[in-house]
Amino acid sequence: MGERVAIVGAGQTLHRSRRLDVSAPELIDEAVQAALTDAGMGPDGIDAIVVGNMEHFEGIHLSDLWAVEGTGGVGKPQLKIATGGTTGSSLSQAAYYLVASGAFRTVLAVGWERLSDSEGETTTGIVTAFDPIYERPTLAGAVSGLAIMACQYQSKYGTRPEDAAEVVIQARENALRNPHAHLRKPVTTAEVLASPMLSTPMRYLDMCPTSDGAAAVLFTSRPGDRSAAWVRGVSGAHNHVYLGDVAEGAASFLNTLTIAAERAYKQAGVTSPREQFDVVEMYEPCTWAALEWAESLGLCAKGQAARLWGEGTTRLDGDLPVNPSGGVLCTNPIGATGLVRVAEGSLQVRGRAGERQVDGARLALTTGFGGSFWSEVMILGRDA
Amino acid sequence: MDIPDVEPVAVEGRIRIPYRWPAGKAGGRFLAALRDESRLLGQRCPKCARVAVPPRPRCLSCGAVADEWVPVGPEGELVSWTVARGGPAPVAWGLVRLDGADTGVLHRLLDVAPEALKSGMRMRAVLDGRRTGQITDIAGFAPAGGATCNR
Amino acid sequence: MQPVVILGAAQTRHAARRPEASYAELAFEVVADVLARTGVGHDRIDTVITASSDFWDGRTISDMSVQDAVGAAGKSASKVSMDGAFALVYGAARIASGAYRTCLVVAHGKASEGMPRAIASAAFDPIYERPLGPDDRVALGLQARRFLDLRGLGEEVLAEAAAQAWTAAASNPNAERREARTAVQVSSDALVADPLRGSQLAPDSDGACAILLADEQTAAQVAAASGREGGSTTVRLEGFGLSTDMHGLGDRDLGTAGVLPRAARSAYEQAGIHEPGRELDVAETYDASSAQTLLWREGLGLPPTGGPAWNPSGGAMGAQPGFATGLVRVAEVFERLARGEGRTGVAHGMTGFVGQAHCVWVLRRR
Repeated sequence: MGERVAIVGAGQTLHRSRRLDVSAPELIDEAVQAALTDAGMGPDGIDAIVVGNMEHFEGIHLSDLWAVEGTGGVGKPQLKIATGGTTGSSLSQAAYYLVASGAFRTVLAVGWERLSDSEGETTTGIVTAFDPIYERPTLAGAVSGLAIMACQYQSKYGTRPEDAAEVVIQARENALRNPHAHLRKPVTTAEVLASPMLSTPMRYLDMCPTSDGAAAVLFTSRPGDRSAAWVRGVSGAHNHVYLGDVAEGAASFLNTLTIAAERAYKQAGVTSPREQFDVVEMYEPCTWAALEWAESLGLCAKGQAARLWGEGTTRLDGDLPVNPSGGVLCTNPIGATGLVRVAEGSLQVRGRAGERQVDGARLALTTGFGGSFWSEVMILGRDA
Repeated sequence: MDIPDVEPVAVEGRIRIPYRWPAGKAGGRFLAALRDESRLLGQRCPKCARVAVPPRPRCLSCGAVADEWVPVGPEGELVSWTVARGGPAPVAWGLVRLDGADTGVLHRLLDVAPEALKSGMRMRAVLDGRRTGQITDIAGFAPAGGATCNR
Repeated sequence: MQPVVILGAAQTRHAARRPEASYAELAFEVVADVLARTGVGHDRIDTVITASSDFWDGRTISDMSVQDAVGAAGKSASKVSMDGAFALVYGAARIASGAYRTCLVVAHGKASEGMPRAIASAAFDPIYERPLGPDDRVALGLQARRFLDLRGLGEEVLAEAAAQAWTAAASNPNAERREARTAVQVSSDALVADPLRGSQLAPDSDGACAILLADEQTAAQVAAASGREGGSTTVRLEGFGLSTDMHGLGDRDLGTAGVLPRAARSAYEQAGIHEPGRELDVAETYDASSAQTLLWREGLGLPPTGGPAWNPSGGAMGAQPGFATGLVRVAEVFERLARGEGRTGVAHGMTGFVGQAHCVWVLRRR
């Protein structure tokens, strides 16, 4: 079998709606330096780099090769991974496998995005993900697929809009404790329900923002005496191309999350996720997704997620805190978003999450979401 | 049901997204000096002394933060050249290493016939009379000895 | 990293235009072919790595459109947005990690659907270079000129290298260019980017390539099930190297092989190769121009003449199907070794302008 792999450093930029003060390489450099500082490591300690963003959001082709000016990739092996929303989680998985295989001892994963570069046109970029002949002429970007999912979920369980609102209310509260988070302003149920309707039942405040930001995470098979978060489970499950094939016959809209989670749980020896995980950093692009996907992850029974949030279980001081960072609902630099989940999960089990630290966190669940409803999962533990 | 063979069918499309790219801290300095003072600045690495044009967040040779600025050019040496002939008219391109710099700048070559181009020849930056704070404030590079401003 | 076995490889017949097939169908073509060749069913594919470019495909998340073609649903899959030879690194690592027994690596490129020059232009620095409107051929011309000047060579060396590539490609059924040309014919071609002429540039092609990887144990099972002699025809990936150079053309010396020797050294070290010119039987490189044919040969540590069979497929000068180009080089070396033509070979992939990133693989038949 392969090498055991640990995360020994994580760094993030301050994520904001516009980081006009820095170029993309400078933005990336901020995250890379923060990760190196966190690990107490110099750039010479990095054997290879994996980097990712989505080219249509910045309009730069071969963006990885331009980004070497920020990643420190000159002279080193560097691979570009770009899988849409999952880009960040895919980067963490690529870094994991490159280290576990023995190909490299220490690999730096760097995810970044500058959604302000195509300000107002992020959706124009996302729409191009869909089939140009059958889907693109009629789709409205990321919102439409998620709204269909939310509609299906709502009609199945009678979940109320205010139940979904609770997710963003808690996320915004958590973001106040996270200096890196983009949206750091509390919201109320009334504000969420009064925000503009995007696509029934999803309102503006149910949806994640678009951010500028970067994240960097160091994976190594030789942590030495560094504070380490051990990778305990890694999995993913992909999907079909067309939205019509995605939900067909599946137990939940995001069936891939259940498949990926079950595989990762098995690797990590997790049989009772609700009890065993101390913290969850979930990729929730909208409030409704958080509800349905908590169920896909087996954190509660089907249709019970509203109670999980409503009863405060998911709060920072609750029994199973979900997204103490504020999650994707507060911060979304797309190519970095999934990696931020892994970075936050690693900080939690290393006890370095600052004001958003979950007391005594030892086992963290992180997820990534992207493409045509596909999923990736990484489990991190204080113990190897 | 019999389906006859058909000619391949295709749907035409074009992705139209406007972009705006911040030049950043180092780039802002370089472009502002070009726009406001007609000066070409190089970024000197305090550790290995490499002078880079245009500037980068860090020295690409040694990784140190390079925040010293030195004047470079406006003359330099043509490191390599080519004439792109794919468009309506041939366009001469060159890599010019400005005096005082260790790197070459990619730009268009002006006022020179393709037959006269020779690696190693001396070139001079020609600035555009109208400044916008972009790389096009340099109109191109012409053989040294000619005009320094095109408008 | 432990060696990984190549079970099989497949490539399309590359062409300037394949209007009857979408790029997902090109990917499907090679996946169906490699599964048929190896007798391995979809149910035995554990994981999939694809290589594609969102700009070339005109589609963000371009891996999404080939998911069904490569059979990724329900499986863990990922995409390396670089030349397919680089994607093979990730595929091999997934197996060497012990997490998967088989991995399908698929790359596609369909130049005819987009505007190759405009797409290349979008890869230049957006602040300092792109507003001037350069494209990939400007970069190739600058490299070729610097290469000739640095060594005091005349343009005839480019014509000779091109003629050799055209002649080799003429007997490669998968090549787009299948017409032998002499150095004199090549020299009479119109200049595209001095000193390069049209026939000294790789074409823009439509095509795809798939390689199926497995661990040793699974490879032995597959060989046994197919009734073939297990072991005698096993070709393994025994070493790889990756290297990345600076982005700016003016930051590098374009007259040299840049960081390619670094990648080659790593691959040779892992495979235990000390004298590549003597120990290698075949070499396939991603040469986007005739200058690169000569530069990469040097960068791989091979002598100017003699040494291994050099780009017997015609190399990328015969067909350049985008991100599939480097993976095709690996497939070509694999096929040759699997047929018993030589024991050890090197395959080279590249991404970025004039060799900013290189990937080198050493394959060996056991």
